[in-house]
Formats: sequence, C-alpha cells, structure tokens
Amino acid sequence: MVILCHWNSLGKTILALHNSVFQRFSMGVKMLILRLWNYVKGYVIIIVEGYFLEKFINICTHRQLRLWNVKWQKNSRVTMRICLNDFKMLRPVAKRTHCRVHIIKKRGLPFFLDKYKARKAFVIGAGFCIVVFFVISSFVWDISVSGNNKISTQVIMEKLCDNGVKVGALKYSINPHTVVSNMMLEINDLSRISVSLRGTKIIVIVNERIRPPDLIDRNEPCDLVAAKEGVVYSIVAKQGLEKVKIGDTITKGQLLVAGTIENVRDKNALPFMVHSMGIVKARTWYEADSKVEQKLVKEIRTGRKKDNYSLVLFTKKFKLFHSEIPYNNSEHVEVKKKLCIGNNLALPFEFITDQYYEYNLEYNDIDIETANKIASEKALDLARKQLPKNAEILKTDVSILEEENGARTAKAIIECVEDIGATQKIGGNK
Amino acid sequence: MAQKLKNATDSKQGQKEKKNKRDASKQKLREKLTEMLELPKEIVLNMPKLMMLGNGDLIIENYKGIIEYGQDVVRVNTTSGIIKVKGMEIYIKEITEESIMIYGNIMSLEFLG
Repeated sequence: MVILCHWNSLGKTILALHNSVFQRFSMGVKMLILRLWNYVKGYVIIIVEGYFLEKFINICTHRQLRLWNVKWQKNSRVTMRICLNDFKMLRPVAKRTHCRVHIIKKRGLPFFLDKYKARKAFVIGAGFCIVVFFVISSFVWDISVSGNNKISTQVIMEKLCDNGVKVGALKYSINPHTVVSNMMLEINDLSRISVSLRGTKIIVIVNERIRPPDLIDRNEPCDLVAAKEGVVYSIVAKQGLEKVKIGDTITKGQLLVAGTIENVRDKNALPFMVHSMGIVKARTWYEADSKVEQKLVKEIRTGRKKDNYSLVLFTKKFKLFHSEIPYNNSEHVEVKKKLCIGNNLALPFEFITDQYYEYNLEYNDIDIETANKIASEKALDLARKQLPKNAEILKTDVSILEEENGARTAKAIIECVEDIGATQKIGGNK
Repeated sequence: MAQKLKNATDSKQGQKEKKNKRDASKQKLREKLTEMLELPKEIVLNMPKLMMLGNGDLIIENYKGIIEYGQDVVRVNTTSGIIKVKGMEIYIKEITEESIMIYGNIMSLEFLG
C-alpha cells in the first residue's frame, strides 16, 4: 500500500512536470504566433486620454477588442496597441467614455505594403528578380565527372550529352535513373555510375570495371613464348618441354616451353599435345640517356603581369577590355571563377582571368660535376619509367660518355629480372 | 395597521433572509459537489484563477473588469473580491475578455473584500 501510494505521488509529479513544461512551451509558441499574426494583420499604437480609462478598457474587452501592452503614461494617459480591424470599432467606445484617441505609430504588413504601393517599379523589379532566379536555377549549369582513370572525361561527357545531360538543359527533364541505365549500356567499361542532381550541379561518379584477362582453356594445347628479349635467368616448366637453358640469349617470340611433345620411340606417331605452363624469368635491360648540359636556362619572372578579364554568360564568352600582351616571353595562367551560391547552386556566370607573367631567360654556367649529376638523374628517371610493374631490379648503372666533339651524354642502364613467358596457342597466333 | 405593516416588513425581511440563507446553502452545496466530483472550480464556481511567475508575470483568468489603472497600481474586480496589485512599472501586457496579464515588478498582491 505504501509503495502504491509512493508510486501514485511520483506519477502525479511527473504528470505535473510534464504539464507545466508543455504549458510553458505552448505559451511561448502561442506568443510567437500571435506576434507574427499581429504583424501580418497590422496594428496601431494609440494614446488614449480621458478620465474613465478603466471604463474604456473594460468596454473594449467586452466588445472583444483585443488590447495589449497597455501602459500608463503621465497625465492620465494610456498607450496601448490594438489590431487594425479592432481600431475601426473604437470610435463609439471613445465617444461613450469621452476619451480622445490618437495614433502614435502604425506597424505591420498592411502599412508596409502601403508604403511600397508608391514604388511600383521597385516591387516589380524585386518580383522579376525572384522569378529570374527561379528560372535560372531550374537549369543545369555545371557537370562534374569524377572517379574515371581510363575512360576520358570527354567520352563520358559526350555520352551524357546524348542522354540529354548537358550545360543549359532543363533540370526537370533529366531523370537520373534512366540516364544511369542508358550510360551503363552505352559505356562497357563501367562497373557503376551515379548521376545526382544537386542544386544546379550534376555530379557524376564513375567506377571503372577491371576487365578479366583473356583466358585460354586449359585443355587447349599451347606453347610458352618469349614476350621480350633477354637472357634466361631461371626456367621452371610445370607442363611441356623446356626448349631453352639458363644463360641462353633469347629473342622476342622465341619458343620457351613447347606444348608439342613428340613420341621418341615412334617418330611417325601423332605428337602428344599439352597446355604448357611454367615460369620463365629472364634478365632484361632498360636504357635511357640524356645530354649533359653545362648551360642551364632558367625562367625568372620579372614581377610584371598583365591580366585579361572575360566573362562567361550562359555559354557565351565575352572579352572585357582585352589588349595585346606587351611581353616577349610570358607564362599564361587561366583562373576560372564560377558564381556559386553555397556548394550546389552553380549559376551560369563565370569570370575568367587570363594572367600573363613576364619572364626573362637567364643562362647559367654550372660546373661539370653538378651537370653530370643532373643529367644522370634525368637518365635514370627515364629508364625507370620503362620498367614493367613486376620487374625486380638487379643492378643500376650510370655512365657518362664523351664524344669526339666534346658533347657528353649520361647513359643509364637498369638490369632486372622479370617473367617473360606468354601463352600462345599452337597453330595460330595467340 | 401599524402592527400589520410591521409584520409584513418582518415577513419580507424574513423572506430575504431565507433567500440569502438558501443562496448560501446552494453555494455550499455546489462547492461540495464540485469538490466531490473534482471538477475545476474556476469553471463551475466562476472563481478567478491566478497564475504568477516569480514576481513579474501575473495572469488572472475569469476576472470581471478592471476598476483602477494607475501608475503603480492595478485593481481588478473578481468574484472573490477585488485584487489589488502594486508594483514598480507594471503594465497590462495583454487583456482579453477572460484573462488579463500584468507584467512588471510586482511588489504586493491584496484581496480586498
């Protein structure tokens, strides 16, 4: 029983708490809405003068005229606020109580609108502006493509264009779902594409498909041939006959492991055909050279710069005060700025600044050692670029060669080991 | 004649008293009934409901009318007497037929019979 009582009181407190919080909250909201409503309907601040102010207020409330902010002033005067509609009914009340009513201030939307009735051009301009904004923002003004490595952006753009997604297209005419399915059908190398509309932007995210390697059936007889030339480093045949030994120099296309195994005892019998497999590693060399130059040409900016501005409206480019570039040597940098509201609302206005930086050519003499160093590094870089991915570097060698006329070149040789075996069908090319 | 008149007045007074008594008993019955049924009194008995937040926010519901409105004083008429509110810079924030909201620095609140 005690526990029950306890629970009962607890429940009551919770209920009371809930009620009070709710009441306070609802009061706040009510006040806010009321204030907004007052503003929309319009109200006047009036000053009432007379001896029977209490009577005046009482009669007003009895006639359902809503008053608020009733404040006592000096000399038996009272200021109050009253709705525009209620104010019209105030005259008989004032007459009965012998009070005088003056308007101090008019507030609210009706008075505000009244003010702008005289400024028609302004209102029309503002309306026009809003309409133009809505019209402009219902077109696509920017397309961004990301995630593509092998497929060029241009190809994707062209396909998008075929599907109706282009700069200046109506936003509502684009259905991302159909565009996505069409794009998937038209471009083979895609594993996924997402087209999303964000404001006036279209964001295309692409994932490329990794193609499966061309498979040759295991039952089909084939040979292993050399894909490159080199010197055999190791050879392991899992199936088939080894045709080369370690240390052999091989040329491109040479047979390494044969899939045709002839019958040793009976030469006339049909040979045994297998799908040859194995790993043939060979030493290969990659070379590159670069000239040693003792005269170094440097571009040094003089600090002078010329800016040419142009404006792109929709898809047309307008040049603004363009003039000739007065420099002999200059570097061109293009800076594009797109007018964008927020991240997604791109507008069809673009500002392009073509910056031309003047530079002078400076010839510097450097000593042989540093020149050699620079040239050898360059040669090494060039050589490294030729290396296939799975190659294992054994040795790198750089040498400086001097010709008869005094010109020097740096030669870099990289020796590495790599798998050179390539499967080839017997009786056909690959 | 005079006696008769006196009797008559007596009987009239008696009637009035009786009526008053009946009214009072009626009122008491009503009160008891509302208490028994736990009905909201402010609706059934037409009593004023005062809501005050600290010393600055007084809402009186079910009031009859305002009697006096001065610089620092507001007197409001209700069924349970006149409520006199005194304070500094108080003003009527909102007034409708059923409720009045007094806002400001309220110092005292009095019920005058």
